[in-house]
Amino acid sequence: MSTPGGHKTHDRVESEFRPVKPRRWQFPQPPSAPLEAPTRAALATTVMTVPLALGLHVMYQPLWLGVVVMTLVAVRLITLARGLLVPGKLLRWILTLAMLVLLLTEYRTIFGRTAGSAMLIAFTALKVIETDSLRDAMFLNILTAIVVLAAFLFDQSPSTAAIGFFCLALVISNFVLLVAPGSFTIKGAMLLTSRIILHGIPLAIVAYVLFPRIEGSLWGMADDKPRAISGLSEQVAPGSISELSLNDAVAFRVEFNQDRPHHDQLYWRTLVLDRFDGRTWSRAERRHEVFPADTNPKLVAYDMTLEATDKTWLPLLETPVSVSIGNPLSNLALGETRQPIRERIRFKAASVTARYMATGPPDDHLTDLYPGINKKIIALAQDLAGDPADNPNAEMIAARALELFTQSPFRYSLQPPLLDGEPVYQFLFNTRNGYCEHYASAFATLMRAAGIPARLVVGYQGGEYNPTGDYTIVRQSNAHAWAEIWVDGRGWRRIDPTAAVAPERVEIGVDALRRGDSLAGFNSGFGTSGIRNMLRSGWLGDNLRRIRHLSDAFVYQWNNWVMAYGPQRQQQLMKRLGVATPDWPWLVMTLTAAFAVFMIATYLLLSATSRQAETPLKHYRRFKSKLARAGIRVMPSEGPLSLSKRAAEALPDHAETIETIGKTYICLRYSRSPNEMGLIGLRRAVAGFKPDRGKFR
Amino acid sequence: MTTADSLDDIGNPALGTDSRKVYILPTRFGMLYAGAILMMLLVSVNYNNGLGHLFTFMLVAIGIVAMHYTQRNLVGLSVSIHPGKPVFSGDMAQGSVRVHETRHRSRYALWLRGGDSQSRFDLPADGHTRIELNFKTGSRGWQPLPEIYFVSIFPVGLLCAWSKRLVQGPDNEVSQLVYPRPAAVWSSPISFDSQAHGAGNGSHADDGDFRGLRGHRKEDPPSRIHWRNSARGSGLVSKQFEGTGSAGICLDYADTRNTDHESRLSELCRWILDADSAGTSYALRLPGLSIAADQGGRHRARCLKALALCPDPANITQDDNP
Repeated sequence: MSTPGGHKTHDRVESEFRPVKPRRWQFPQPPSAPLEAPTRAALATTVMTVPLALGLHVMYQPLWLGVVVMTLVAVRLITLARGLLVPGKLLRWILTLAMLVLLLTEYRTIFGRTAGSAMLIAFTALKVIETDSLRDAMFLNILTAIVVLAAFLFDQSPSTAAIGFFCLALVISNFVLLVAPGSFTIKGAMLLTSRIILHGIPLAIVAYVLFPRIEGSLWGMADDKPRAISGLSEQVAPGSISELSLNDAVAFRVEFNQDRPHHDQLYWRTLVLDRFDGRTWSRAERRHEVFPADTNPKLVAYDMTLEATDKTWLPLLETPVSVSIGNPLSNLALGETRQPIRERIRFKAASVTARYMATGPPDDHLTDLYPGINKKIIALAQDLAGDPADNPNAEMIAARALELFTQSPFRYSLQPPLLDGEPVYQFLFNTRNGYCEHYASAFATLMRAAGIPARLVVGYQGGEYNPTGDYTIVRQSNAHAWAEIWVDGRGWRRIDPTAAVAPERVEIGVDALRRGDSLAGFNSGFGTSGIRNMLRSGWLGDNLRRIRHLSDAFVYQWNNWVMAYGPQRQQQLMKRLGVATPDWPWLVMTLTAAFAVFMIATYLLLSATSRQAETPLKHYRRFKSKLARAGIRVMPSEGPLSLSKRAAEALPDHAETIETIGKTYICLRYSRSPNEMGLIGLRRAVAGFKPDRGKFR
Repeated sequence: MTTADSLDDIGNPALGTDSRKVYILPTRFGMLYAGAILMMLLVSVNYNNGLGHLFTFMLVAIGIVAMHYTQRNLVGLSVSIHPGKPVFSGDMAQGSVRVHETRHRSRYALWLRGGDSQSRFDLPADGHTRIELNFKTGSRGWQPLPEIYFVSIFPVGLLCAWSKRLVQGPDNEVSQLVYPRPAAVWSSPISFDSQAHGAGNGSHADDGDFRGLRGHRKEDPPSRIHWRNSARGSGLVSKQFEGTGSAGICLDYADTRNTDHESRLSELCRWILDADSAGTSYALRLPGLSIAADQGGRHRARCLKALALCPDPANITQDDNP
């Protein structure tokens, strides 16, 4: 023993022992985090969360990857259940290499959305196989969250979001189960998790709204294959629009800022096709001059949320005068973006619904007829035009043509007979049964044959009004084709031959027609089964429609606030909230302030919930501190009995009170039988206890 | 009310975890989580993905809320540290820490670290628990109890909160008593033949002739206390016996072979242990202190304590200038 003498030791100990005011503040050194081996239940829930997150990718990855991944997860679950060991390092390396080779053969790259996700998925599945320790499990849970985020790059629908956020809740609850093994049941962990998430939601939303959004992307979105999107195409041949008539997919949604125009004015012009080869209408390749902005006072302003089209054109109402995205309007009064629309976008536009569209005079080729046109068509057109000496007006000729369509046995049908040979001729003289593109095409051809510049316009007509969300839904089934003719001295005038032959199509919309509201003739085109008819009309149908409106309104709001929430929408919202210049610094500062408020609020909220209970101990503590102030030394090891006895001796004036407090406290704290004084009695007794320091001394 | 007494000594206000004494930093997992968030944010921004933004911010918010929860798990514990039974120098002492929950909420996965122990415990709301605190002892005498601190990564393991190191203050006057280490070898110069006098005889304390009563002195063994008279309220009274003290052996500091103070005490310690295990009655004589012969556990403890606290006579003269 090399220690100095006992006495000295004691002294040294005493002096070192004194809680000297901390010498100098030092940065606190974190202790290494305490880790415990995870329970098997926690490992199992961690492993089982993974397939749920991976499942979100099923639609976007090759089937073999899904099979491999699910097999790996299943193997791990079985080994967990049986208490078997994880596979050895060699096997894991082989699996990793095999996976890498397969993925490289599939994608040839590891970058980009699809290939990157595939790598992430494969890595996660391989991690599942070796997950055994707390570290692995925590890491795997973080990976799972990343997998969920990757899935959002492919689909942002409410259902994907619901599954994704459920996965997040599971991840957090897995954290709880891992960190406090044995303390929680799965249900208990979920309850705690939901409390944490509920506390976090306000901050998440504020950050979501205020975080400065940027236009464009940070790095390219390599390799992202465009999805096959059905919709309008650049060419119109017989059947190309009618094939959309059963497609219920939403094309776009429109919110009118003022009153909604009447249904028969809802012509959403998308493409102007002026070249016709006898079968197919297409666009002439040329540059358009800028369409002169009109300052017509009767503007219809609206916000449009357009679904991804993978095309550059925009469907705009009638004659557009302004649009908030893309290029300036062309002289065909069409809107166009610079890049194909790969994601849902939202923009503002304004249009006028005038009878004539006063753009520049038409090119000469707009009266061109396709080669080999049947003489009977030309004869018919000349018949309609009448005597050139009468100097017939273009509109009069058009009216005669429309009359022809209404009077002859022309029928409107979604499933017209196939047209071989020369479609226009076949339609005009043989089948006389067609959909909008047949009528528009035939009409434009007749007009051209009569010497009137005419062109085909493709777009959408009508739309279903959703009273729940006060907006109009336009679906692919609203796709429509019509014609425009040049009226000298006035401009382009829209002529819709379909409206002439089947006014209901335009008056009440194709949806109403399909509900079977009228026109027995249409039933043949839309299935004759009784159940479908019953669903389309009547009480059940009405309610189904209401539900559909409700759910679409939800989807619409979801799209607006989640998917289309970009820089423009952020600016709009800030301006609506009264922020004059919601620029970048403002957003960051507000976000920081909101963050500070959140921190304080959370702290207060959390400490408030724990302050509710009143316990005997709390009052006893107050009693003890009062005694200490009165000069009685309260020994930490002293019980209430001996303390109150000693205190009563020291403070004879208060002996009775002290005794009562001591007895009541002991009774409340340690005895099961209720005390007549109760907690309130104890509180009052302690409050009334006012030992006087002077008397004691 | 023994239960009450034993339970209640935990409310020592000098020790506890309050919010100013709790630190918090991210764990390795927390760093990983933060890295994942950063990556997610970059991806969300790049793809202009609204849902991705929302998801990322939800993760951020969870991390921040978890910070409050982790800190909250540690704040508001009332703590007291208690020494264990005296041990020989160099042995492990087993003290205890009593933790009382004072904020009416359950605590989970708390870790107590201090000395050589590290243990995990949960606490129900307003509950309390006693945790063993093992620590290695140094030289003899009063040894301060080791610093302790609480650590917790609950609830999500992303953040680690720990309390400031808690040290028992001098007011509590509780330290671990450490006896000198007994000398390893048999070094007793004294033969234990005298053991015939004292040992094997049940009522060892009464082996001399009863001489009378006198006021209790500090050095009197408790076995000599005349309880009946003491109970009458006139203070403690000790019985006096003829021949007591001469019946056993005397373990004298001066008889030890070593010259070094500590070694002498070690030697004495060994003698005491041997005498005790032999059942001999023994007296102890140290510089400035002598303890009358007696035997039994209490006597042994008293003698060992005297050894533990025995000052070095060489130093007394120098240090004890008033």
